Amino acid sequence: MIHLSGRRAELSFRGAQPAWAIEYFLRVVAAVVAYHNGGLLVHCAALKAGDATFLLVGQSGSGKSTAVALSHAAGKAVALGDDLVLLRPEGDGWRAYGTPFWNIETVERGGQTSSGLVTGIYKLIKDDAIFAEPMGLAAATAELLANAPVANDLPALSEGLIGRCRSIVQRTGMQRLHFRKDAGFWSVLAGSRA
Amino acid sequence: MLLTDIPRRAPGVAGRTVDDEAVLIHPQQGKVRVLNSVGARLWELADGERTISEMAAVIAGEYAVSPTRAESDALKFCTELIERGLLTFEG
Repeated sequence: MIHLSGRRAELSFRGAQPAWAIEYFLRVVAAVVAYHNGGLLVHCAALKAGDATFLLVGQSGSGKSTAVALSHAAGKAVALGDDLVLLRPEGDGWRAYGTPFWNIETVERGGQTSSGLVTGIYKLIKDDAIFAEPMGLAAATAELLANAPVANDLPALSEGLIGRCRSIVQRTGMQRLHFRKDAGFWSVLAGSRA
Repeated sequence: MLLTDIPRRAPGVAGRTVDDEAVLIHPQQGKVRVLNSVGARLWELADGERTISEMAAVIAGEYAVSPTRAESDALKFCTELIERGLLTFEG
């Protein structure tokens, strides 16, 4: 049970519960609280390189954790997260914040408590070539919507959620990023902030 | 499904127009869908008051498409969206 007005959430269970069940509850609470405070919890990886922060979205298995590991190994960026990242409005843009919610196999979590203004959002596409291609506003809105866990399961939030996703991608843009399993995709990301 | 059927947007499904297209979300299915310009207009017209034939007539008047083709496309569109749980209809 989540009591937004009382700023309280309760989880009741009997007997031993696996840790993942409790973590899942915390993810749900984080997503609902984020939405009701004007933000959005997004299923994505976030990589911060200098003043630029890039979000990488995609379904499980699309390469988010791989991109984080490759970027870390190549010294290209600090990861704010590789699974769930919090977005909050700031000025004319959106700031990405690291969260405690990472994929379990990821070891390097140095950016978990960091944040950065979002420079661009990319949908990961595994490919043999490296290039970016633009996405229309509706497709980008739909992609972000599909990656807004919990909030996109709640009918009461649907109308507002579409508008919020649209607002985010209008500010940050979204492109499809075709990439292969090396850090070469940074040539595209670096170009986008030039 | 017939041209005389009256489709309406399914309860619980939310949609908004974005740049002439429409973004739909079906929270219970966890599905998100994008409709092109004509699809977005048909979605808007599926208000539970117009028949598919009447919706098609609006499309034929607004887009460069024959009435026959508009009816065929509108019927196909509504059938698909009903199968996906995005529209319901009254006979």
